[in-house]
Amino acid sequence: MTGFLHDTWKPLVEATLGGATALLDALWDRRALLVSGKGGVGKTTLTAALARAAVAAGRRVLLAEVEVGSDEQDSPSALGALVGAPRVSGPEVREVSPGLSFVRLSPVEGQRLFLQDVLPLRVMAEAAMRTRALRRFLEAAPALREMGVLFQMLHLVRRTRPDGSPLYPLCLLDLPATGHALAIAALPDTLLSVMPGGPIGRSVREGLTLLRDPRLTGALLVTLPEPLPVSETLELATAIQRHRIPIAAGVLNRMPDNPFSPDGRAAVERLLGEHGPHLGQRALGRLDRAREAEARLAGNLPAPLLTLPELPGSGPELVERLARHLARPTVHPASPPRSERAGAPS
Amino acid sequence: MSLQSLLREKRVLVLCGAGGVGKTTTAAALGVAAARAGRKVLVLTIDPAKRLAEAMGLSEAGAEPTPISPERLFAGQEPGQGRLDVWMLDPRVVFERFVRRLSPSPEAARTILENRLYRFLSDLVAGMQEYAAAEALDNFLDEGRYELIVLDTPPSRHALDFLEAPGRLARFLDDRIVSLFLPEEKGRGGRLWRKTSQLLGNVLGSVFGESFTQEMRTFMGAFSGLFSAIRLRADRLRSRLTSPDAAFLLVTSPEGASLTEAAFFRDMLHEKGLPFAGFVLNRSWAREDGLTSPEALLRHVEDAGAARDGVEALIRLADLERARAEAHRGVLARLAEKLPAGAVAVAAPEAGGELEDFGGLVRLGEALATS
Repeated sequence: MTGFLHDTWKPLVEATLGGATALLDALWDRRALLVSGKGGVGKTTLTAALARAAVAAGRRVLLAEVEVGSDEQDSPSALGALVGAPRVSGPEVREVSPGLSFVRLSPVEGQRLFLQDVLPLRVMAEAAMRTRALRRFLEAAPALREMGVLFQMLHLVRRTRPDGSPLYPLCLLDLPATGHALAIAALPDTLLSVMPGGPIGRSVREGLTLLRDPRLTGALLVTLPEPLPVSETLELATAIQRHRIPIAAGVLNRMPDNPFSPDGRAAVERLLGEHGPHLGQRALGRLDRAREAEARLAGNLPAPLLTLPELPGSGPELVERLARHLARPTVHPASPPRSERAGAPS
Repeated sequence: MSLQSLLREKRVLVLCGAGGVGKTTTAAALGVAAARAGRKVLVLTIDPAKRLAEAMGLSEAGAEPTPISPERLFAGQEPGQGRLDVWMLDPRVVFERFVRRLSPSPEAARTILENRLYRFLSDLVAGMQEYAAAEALDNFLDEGRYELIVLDTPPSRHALDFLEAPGRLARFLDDRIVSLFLPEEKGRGGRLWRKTSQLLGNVLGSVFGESFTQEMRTFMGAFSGLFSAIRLRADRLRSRLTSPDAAFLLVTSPEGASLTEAAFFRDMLHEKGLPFAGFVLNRSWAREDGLTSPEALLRHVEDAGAARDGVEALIRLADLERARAEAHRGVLARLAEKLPAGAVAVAAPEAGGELEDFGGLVRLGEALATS
């Protein structure tokens, strides 16, 4: 029996996977990675897995999520739970395992840090943040919330050790949702056009030198191999580029395994044509859509594409599997030749 | 109660759910079903995917709802009394109208609309889509042009943000608070007020720069005439949405994150006293398809060769499909547990993200309404 990985495909697949290693190394060399994608694409799990993989590659990583509601200072964290910090209280960074730290970025914390920076006296910042009027003002203007998040992030990226090297060389930020990623990408331009001068303008310009430098920052656009998510990702890529935020890579998550050889597939089509629909056709349709979606994404995304297999499990277990896959991408665990899989020592 | 009776009886259907679960498609399909059943329906949506917009025959965000032609709406059945309009919300249009309607005079409206800051309002305020959705909904309900409004909520993580947004604005617009931000007037307020106002002045001046702070204060001064109206409308919308005329449907996919989100929404609705009407499970294989197992194909192939390998691969896919379908039926069963009286849990047929045309919306709407 011939395996599905035919000899003619092998060099191609290996080249792609070799490219994946180089791609990941280039990712880990950046200071900030912004992970964006719609709900349900597995973004949070993937962010946790990327962090684990980067730690396994010897990097010190700060994993960050964004607080969404103002009532969330002390509440369960989906991302935290995946790396061993199920409950978060306060905006402090904490180390969850060697080389891996976790933080929930909070608009209020960022705004406080910003006020401390620009006001002559520290007590003024504290007094101001205690003022109900100002708190409500900051709450009612969500641009200022996002500004706070960005500022706290910038603050953490800038922190150094006593020897001057960065305390957190690589920050991985799990962005809340596609809409927010775009809002964050658009924010600096908006703020600059509204208030080009003053401390906010200065701070925004400083943030932009980090955000727009492709050597330092990159957005990772996570999506699924289905038509609608791929269309939306391509739209998002265009919009993000308009704001000159570099796109580091696309990540196509949960690519289903194709168990057919071209001849086998042709034979099955013939049989189904003759004998009518059978169970398995929904999965077959899904497979075809996935391959079309992958081709469309690879052909249109202005960045390299990392395709990840559909792996079983969920939660921390899935994070581990994905991280292992990312750490050794030269092996493709989702689709080894079937003959080898059967004979492989366990 | 079934989805069908919701579509017949309610005046507002609000669809909530995490992004990417097919909320907009579901909203459109339910709107189509209600209109084909004879009601005057408006589907209010924000930023639909291009293909869906095309399926509904929408070109660009317009200033008015776009009617769906009766030929298209009633394709395959006798034309009825129903009507379907679709409106892709444009926050700028909504706000401009809002300012014009509530300003004491056309001049006052012009002062606001021509202010430099006004042009940036919807860029600066990321929750603007939410404000706009709430405002548009309130406005259409007030006009009474439609018998049913289906609202597709903006794609924020907290889908109830659109309800929170007006409240948040209203809290901020508390007169005592706002007055602190307005241009200074001699002799206003007590000592505490003056001290706080001074502190804010210092903070805002240091943070935004003096000239921007002045500009902002002028703008707030011009806008402040509308504040009491915004507060009233926030209260009015809330009472409308808590009434039995309204129903909230939670749209979810079988994925863990989306289900967690749906459970969270359900609790939020309960907490806020909003009428929860049930779940729509999208992108699932929970519906039976009643097909034959592909093992049956084995007798048509040789003992070895590509065809046999192909059928064996199909058998493995069928196993996966069965396991997945079973898992999804489990999800549906869990959603159906502990539902309040009258609420539903319905699985949509797997559209596979493929909605090629209006006919697809018709079929989806019928499948949802009759299950």
